[in-house]
Amino acid sequence: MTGADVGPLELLVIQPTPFCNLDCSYCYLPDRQNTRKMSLEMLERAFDWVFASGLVRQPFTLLWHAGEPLVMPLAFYDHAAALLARHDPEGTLVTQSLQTNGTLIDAEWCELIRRLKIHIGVSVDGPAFLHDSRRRTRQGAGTLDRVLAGIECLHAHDIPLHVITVLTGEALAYPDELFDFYMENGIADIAFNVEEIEGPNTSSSLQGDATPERFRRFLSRFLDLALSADPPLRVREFECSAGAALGKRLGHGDRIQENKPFAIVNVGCDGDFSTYYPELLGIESLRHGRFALGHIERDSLASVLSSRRFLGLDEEIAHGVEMCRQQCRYFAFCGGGPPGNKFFENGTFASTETMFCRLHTQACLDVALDKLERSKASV
Amino acid sequence: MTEAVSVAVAPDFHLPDAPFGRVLIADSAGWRPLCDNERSAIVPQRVALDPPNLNRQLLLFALPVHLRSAFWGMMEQGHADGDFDAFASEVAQFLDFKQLPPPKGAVFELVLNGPGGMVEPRGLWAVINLGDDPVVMSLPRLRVCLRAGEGGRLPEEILAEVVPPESNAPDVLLLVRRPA
Repeated sequence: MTGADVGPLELLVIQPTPFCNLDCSYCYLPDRQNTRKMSLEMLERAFDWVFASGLVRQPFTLLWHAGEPLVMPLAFYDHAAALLARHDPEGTLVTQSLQTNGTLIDAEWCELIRRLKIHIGVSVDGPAFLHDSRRRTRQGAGTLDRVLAGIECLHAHDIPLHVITVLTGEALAYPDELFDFYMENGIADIAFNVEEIEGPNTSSSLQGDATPERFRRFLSRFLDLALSADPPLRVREFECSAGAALGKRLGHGDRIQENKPFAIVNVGCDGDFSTYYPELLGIESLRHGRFALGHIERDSLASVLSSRRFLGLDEEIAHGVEMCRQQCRYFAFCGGGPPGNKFFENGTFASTETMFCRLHTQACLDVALDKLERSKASV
Repeated sequence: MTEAVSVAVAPDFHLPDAPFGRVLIADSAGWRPLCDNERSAIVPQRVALDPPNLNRQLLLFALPVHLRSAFWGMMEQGHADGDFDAFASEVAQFLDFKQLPPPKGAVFELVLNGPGGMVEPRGLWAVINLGDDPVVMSLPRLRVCLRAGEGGRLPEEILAEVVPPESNAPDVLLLVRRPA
């Protein structure tokens, strides 16, 4: 396999620190109490590696993520922007995006976010009885008040934002309350993550045979509310599912971002890098060893692509995708799904259905198709 | 003495401070908050999800803000029967989603209940407070306060009255009745 056979890069995930100032109950980060930070030198080498790799053949998104990116100093991101400008002087290749827990946002951050045109996502789980039961400080205190202050600060600086809400088993009973919460706080762009089984979060409140039907009911009711709002709320799960339903069908040999080698590159704060599913960086398995495939100071893309570790990993992931193609009627829409969920739930990439599939892919597609058909029938 | 019904927050609802802060009990001096040993009997910690248990309890619930806003928007624009029917249908759909479905054929009534007023208690399935001021329901030995947007689903075979407001501002009530 050569560099031309992989990529192009669609998403570069840089984890400037594993540290998070919160201690959410469902967090997948094994090392979130560790305060290591990426040095500016390491950041420079990371960009140099990426742009020299041959993977940059189209515009891509740079996502600052995991742990909490805003525990880094403001100057880190100014420096990053200056480094990016060396490689992308016209500013047409890279879109910066940042996912934050929102608790540290203040006027200075807003000024930087606006100046650097960083797309911002805030993690918030809805009203206090939902949010504060899971998203807490290490002392066990709720965090919603601080998150809402951060969102208010973004609004005050006219910075558009989207939110990611993690749905737990309890949250599925509260679509109306979530809708009220978003409307009350000026949130118009929403993504739902399911509480996944990942890393240290070895079980999920969404496990159980009854959950898919509960999830469908939740999503259906929420979409009815969101789509009838004026203006309608954007719901990622509806847009992605409707897009998949109306778009090109995936077939033999097709791979999606999460299971296509080097469409995603993940770089940790010490310079380790991986591909595929970002949550695998920092994890290891008996069969494959560490999922970090190399280090940006020592390992070229060519050397990684010829390594037994990468080839074994890719073979197993490709096998799992092919199994999905042969066995699952949703394959044409999802392309085999994220391999990380297969690994964490089934213990191997060479497997098919997961809880994540049943909820985030299958249930979302079913509900989106139902809404599309009903809207078509009413025209 | 008549046994007091038990009071619980309906499953799949979250009401701040409920039900402890909402219940008063009758004694010789009038109405007072529950003491500790009354609490465990009248306000169970957990509601068993099986219908026989639920049917014996006064279940507190709350309408979402968007439904209350839709109601007041309808009132501001001039109420028409069709609008009210659509609103009642929205309330029924919401309660159905929450697994607290009104009985088949239930009748929805909008009532303004002023000082000295009286709500016919027979056939009441639920009382919902659409106004901003608290509404007080009176049951055998108990009084239960419904804050803005909150409702109470009555236990089977228990008659409840709505205590008329003391101020001139009428209570704005959505009553849900079992079909005759």
